[in-house]
Amino acid sequence: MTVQVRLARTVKDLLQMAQTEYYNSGHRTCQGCESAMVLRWIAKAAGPNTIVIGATGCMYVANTTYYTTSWALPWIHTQLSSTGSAVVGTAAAIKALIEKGKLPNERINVIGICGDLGCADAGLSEVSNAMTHTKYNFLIIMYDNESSANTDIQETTMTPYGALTSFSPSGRQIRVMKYRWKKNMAAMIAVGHPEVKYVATAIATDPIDLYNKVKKALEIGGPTFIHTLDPCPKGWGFDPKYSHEIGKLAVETGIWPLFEIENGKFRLTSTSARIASGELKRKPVKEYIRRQSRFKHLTDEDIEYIQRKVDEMWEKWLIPGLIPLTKELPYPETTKSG
Amino acid sequence: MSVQETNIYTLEIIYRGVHQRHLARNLARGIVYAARMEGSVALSYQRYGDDPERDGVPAKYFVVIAKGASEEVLDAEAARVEPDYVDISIVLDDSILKGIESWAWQGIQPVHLKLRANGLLIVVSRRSPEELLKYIPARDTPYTLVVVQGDRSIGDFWTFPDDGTLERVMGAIARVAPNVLSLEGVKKYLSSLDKPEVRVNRALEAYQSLIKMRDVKPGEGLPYKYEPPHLPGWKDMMIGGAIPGLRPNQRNPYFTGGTAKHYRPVINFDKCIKCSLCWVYCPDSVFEITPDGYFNPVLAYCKGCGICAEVCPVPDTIIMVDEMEFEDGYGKYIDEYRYWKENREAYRRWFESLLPKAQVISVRKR
Repeated sequence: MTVQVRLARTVKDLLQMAQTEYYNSGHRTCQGCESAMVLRWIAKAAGPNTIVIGATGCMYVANTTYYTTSWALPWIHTQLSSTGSAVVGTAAAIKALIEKGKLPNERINVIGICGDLGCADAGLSEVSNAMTHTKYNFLIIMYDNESSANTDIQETTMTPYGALTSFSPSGRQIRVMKYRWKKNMAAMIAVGHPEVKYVATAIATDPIDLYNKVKKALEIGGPTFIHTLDPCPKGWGFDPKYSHEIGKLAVETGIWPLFEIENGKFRLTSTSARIASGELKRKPVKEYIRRQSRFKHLTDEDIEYIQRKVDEMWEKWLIPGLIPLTKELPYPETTKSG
Repeated sequence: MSVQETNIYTLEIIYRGVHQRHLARNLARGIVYAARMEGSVALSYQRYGDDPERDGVPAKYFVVIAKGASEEVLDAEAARVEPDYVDISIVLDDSILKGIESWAWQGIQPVHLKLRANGLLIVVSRRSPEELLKYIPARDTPYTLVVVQGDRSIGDFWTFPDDGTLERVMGAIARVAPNVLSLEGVKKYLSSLDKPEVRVNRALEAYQSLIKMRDVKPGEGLPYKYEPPHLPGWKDMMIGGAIPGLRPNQRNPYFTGGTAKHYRPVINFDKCIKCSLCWVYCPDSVFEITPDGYFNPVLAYCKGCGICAEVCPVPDTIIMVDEMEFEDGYGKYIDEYRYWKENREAYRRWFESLLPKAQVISVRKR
């Protein structure tokens, strides 16, 4: 069963359906901040009947400069790692108030917004626990700029292979300090919490896709999760005017597959679907990597390694970008011994 | 000499956040090292609250140099959020002259807010002091405007464009304020770095060729009065520290962020096909939809990232032009759409005059 909700197909639809700004100008983000784009389109998709819960991170500090805000939606700050608990608590309170007749019986969206440190590192257990609370309706959005960008770019587990951060500088002895591969957060939520009805990845470069995914996630009910990749001019090291282009390249090179899992059904969307169907050819990751100065110390061999890993993800994985089990299941050894 | 004869000198380095962070830090460090090499005590600190830096948002470093004083005196001088007054203000990007709005409730501060009477305002620019005065607000006390020849030095979070700006500024300080920093100290410091000859030569070049100085009398400059908004204290706040929210479509009245830009979009409405991509992709929701379906940038809130110019599908329809080409600022910006509506022919001529000065958009579109 798919959700019945009016989706946008073209940019003109966006203009028609989402003209009102609920997250507006006057925030202290960087020039060309794609996380601000994500918040803007989430707010547009969610509409006025929404409560937003923001964990500590770039988008908390930037949006609530002392005693001002750029939100037109009720917004509350929660601690770095407590997005999950705060979101469940809010959703439960709304449910209780509606049952007692203290609130009119209409849908109130609850959206938790956390960064990669607040969601995938420090707040992982809370988010994971929240995802098991199937009685309540809420959406958790992880805006992933692949570092703790607020406190001047520290490494998180979501930092990609080889990237420079304050915690992983490149030196003469060790060129690649961040040798660990990036975690697959959306997959972790989808595979580990089978009762979650909607999990997706998105990117602000494709606002139609993002808008539709937020709409669907809020409509389908229960706990839902969206992971967005946000090019960060400050931490990734590129001119702010290229934010849009870098985001596009992330999808076109296949580093960032866009997909959704709706009621257990996996589907690649937008550009990624076109890559999978053979309509578009995947660009080499070099085009994406060489545009960012956080990768400036990588040699061609390093980039080849990244290319191999991305190729593997698309060609060998059971579901590209999601399940890192190879297609040759079951393994011969396992069958023999079993 | 115009710098006050005290034993303690305070310098201020105003720079574009992130874009010039390495330049500003290296310059602050360089001044401290040079001062210490000639026997003074000195230290530098970043303005509390500028970190986390944001791309483009103006930020500050302070350097305190104490002549013949002890380290304790210096520590007391530096243990504060920001100094009350500075003797020398160094502006690393001339478009910062259009105002500094680092946080909410500060309003748009004039660039020389902290400058002492008869202080020095050193600006890195290609323009003459007379031209620069068009962007600087008038003040009650006189000061000296010094121009160090140079282009805007822009890097990013991980790279320092070693283009000589640092050496030239140090050479210029030695020229105009030898009591603060002597040429010997500057030479000694630069010789201790890599490529010493090149660096010392750059400093000497600036030292010898610096002639662009102008004494600015009280009342000269833009008629702008700095009035910061009333900062709410705990008695003004709502219960729980709650903040009154915005209405839908309302922009934040207490923080605009418009001083973060060094380029601004100028739109050729004649060529606009109303595709709405600029409106869709603007992270700062700057574009206002006009009744006839055009998209008009509210420049006070524009941070000048240039994404709109990048995504615009029609060549030369949105162009990014250097802020210094426009004499507005300090919260009052032109309304491009209204200008175009009023006189299309004049607007077209104006746009065409700006076209050769536009920042080059990526090759993809050509």
